[in-house]
Amino acid sequence: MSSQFEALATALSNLEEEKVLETVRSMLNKGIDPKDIINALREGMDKIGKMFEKGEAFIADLVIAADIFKKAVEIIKPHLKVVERGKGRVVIGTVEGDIHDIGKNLVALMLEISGYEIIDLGVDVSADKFAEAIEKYNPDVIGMSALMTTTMLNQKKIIEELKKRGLRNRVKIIVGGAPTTEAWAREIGADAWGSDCFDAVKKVRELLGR
Amino acid sequence: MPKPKFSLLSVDDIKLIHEKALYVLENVGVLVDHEEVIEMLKNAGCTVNGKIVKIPRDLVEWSLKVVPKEITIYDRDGKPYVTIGGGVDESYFRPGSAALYLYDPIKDEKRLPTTRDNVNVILLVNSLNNIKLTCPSFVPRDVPNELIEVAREYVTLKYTNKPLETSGFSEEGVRNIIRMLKIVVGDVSKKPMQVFPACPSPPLKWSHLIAQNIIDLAKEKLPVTVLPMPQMGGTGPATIAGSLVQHHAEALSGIVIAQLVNRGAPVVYGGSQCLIEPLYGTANVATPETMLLYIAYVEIAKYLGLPTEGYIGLSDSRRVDVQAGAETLMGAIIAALKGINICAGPGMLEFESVVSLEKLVIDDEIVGLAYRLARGFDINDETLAVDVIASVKPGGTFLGQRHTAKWVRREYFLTKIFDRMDESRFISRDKPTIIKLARERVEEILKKPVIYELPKDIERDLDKWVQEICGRYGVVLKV
Repeated sequence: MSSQFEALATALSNLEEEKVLETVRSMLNKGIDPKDIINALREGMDKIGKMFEKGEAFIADLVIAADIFKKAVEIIKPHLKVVERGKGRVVIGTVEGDIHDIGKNLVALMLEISGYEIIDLGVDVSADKFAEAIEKYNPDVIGMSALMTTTMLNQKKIIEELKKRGLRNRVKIIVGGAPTTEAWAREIGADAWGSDCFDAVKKVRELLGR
Repeated sequence: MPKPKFSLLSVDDIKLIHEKALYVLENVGVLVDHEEVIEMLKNAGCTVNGKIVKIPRDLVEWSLKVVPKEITIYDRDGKPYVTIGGGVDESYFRPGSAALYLYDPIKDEKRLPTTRDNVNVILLVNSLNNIKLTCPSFVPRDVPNELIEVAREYVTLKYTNKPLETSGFSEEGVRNIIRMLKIVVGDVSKKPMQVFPACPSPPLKWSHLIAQNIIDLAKEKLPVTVLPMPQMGGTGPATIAGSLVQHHAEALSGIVIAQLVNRGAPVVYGGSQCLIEPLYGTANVATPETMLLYIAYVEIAKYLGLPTEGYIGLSDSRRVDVQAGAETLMGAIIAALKGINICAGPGMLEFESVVSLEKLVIDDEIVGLAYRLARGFDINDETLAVDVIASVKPGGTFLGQRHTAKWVRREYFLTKIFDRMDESRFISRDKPTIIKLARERVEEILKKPVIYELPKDIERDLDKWVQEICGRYGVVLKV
């Protein structure tokens, strides 16, 4: 990451709201690729997430950072150009028991600007709700997010429930979230794993071949 | 800033107990097993009959007048570190001593300690923020008896600049400690960095050893803690009030002796009483009854304006378990709220005979909890937070407020070992027990220890002196 992106990431992890929003605006004015700006902000969120894991940042800091992040993304959104539409339909949600939506929202945003139609089920989404959505929207892909080691277990539970109902093979399934891994995705019978929002777009493209 | 406070004795209660103790000293007397001290007491107006010395009220009152009301303790570098007495209601904890065994809670066994274990205690305390004073907890068994004090003092002076408290187990042992202190700090009387406990033998007796210790220490104006330790129901009356009278009489007699040796010699009013368990005959230190005795004598000592000490913030449990936590916290809270100036306890188990390194780091946290409780809380516009309440509005959340991010850092004491983890982290860390977390902390600190090195020339002199005395016993002390 070049120094200007690094400075932006650091400003976010330091919770410097004014500085973050100013920097984003001036970067957009200079014609910097909005995807690169989002990537830098994502690095900033990673940074404060790591501080949190080490006990150097608290929940309040995470919430404030997420708030700044959302404001920044709102500024960037109008600058993101949707290249082409109609590449496929993706139903996305954070799994049951988990209310973290930053990662899920980012994936949804990146998929949307990459030409996919998004149906966002929100957070704390049960197997029932995923099943209903498959029946109702007939999507190509289901995306499941989980931020905690405890809730990632629900990704497995939901896939098993979809199998039981005979819905599993009607869709491709991609999972993601901080505690998940490629191996985990394979273990629970998902079709793909996205390490971050950019990787998720890449994997969906591979799954659908478009 | 409002702080939680409590009190036990009324001024009338204190005066009554003081009167009764004066009566005991004047009419029952104390047994002094030391010719020179008896002679001193006799010359000062005491009635002597064999070794029984009856101390008149005016001598006690004179002693209370001339004993310093405030003591500043310095660190090894000669900087003022803490001031005790003089109305100071701050508590400073130090590791418990002197333990005959080290307990390993993972193996669930105890073993004889060595000098290396004392090094570990000193290094741990260097990194434990709530344990402000230090002490080599163990009686090391890798050196002959004659060198126990030397070995304990050596590792302390070598590895830390925190002031310490340790006792001697022999006359020569205390003298050796004083010699070592002189090598390191020069004039020990000007900037004392060590406090020495001196325990009368209850009831109402001064052994030859302790009397001699007081002479040697008072002459150098090194602070002595007079540390009565009536065992309720054994070597003291079964009642709390009765043991309190005896405790106070013993403490007063110690103050008298120190002042007669050297007027103005600093004395701390201490206590390490226990209760003889009526069924088992064990000496229990951390019971509600002993706690009441601590609170009471500390209130009397503070009424007299003296610095205070207690063997408190420890446990009688054999294991690092629920009992150990409960008893230690009971004492730590009382000590912190009462402002007992020196508190000897962290790490200690099993009737003051065993120390565990894991318990020491857990106790650092327990003391932190007690300190936090004692600190109270601020009331001002910012902490009242009316603006924040208004901006969050009914039904909102305070989680992401800047006010929250700021004040969680100031208002809360955050635990390192007490388990407050979320389920996710608890599972990812393999569901650790408190023992495992404590062991990890011990290992983490000892892997990268904080060491306060002595200036090279002083270290050389100290090494030389220690190796010379150890050589006399055919011992090479490497630390």
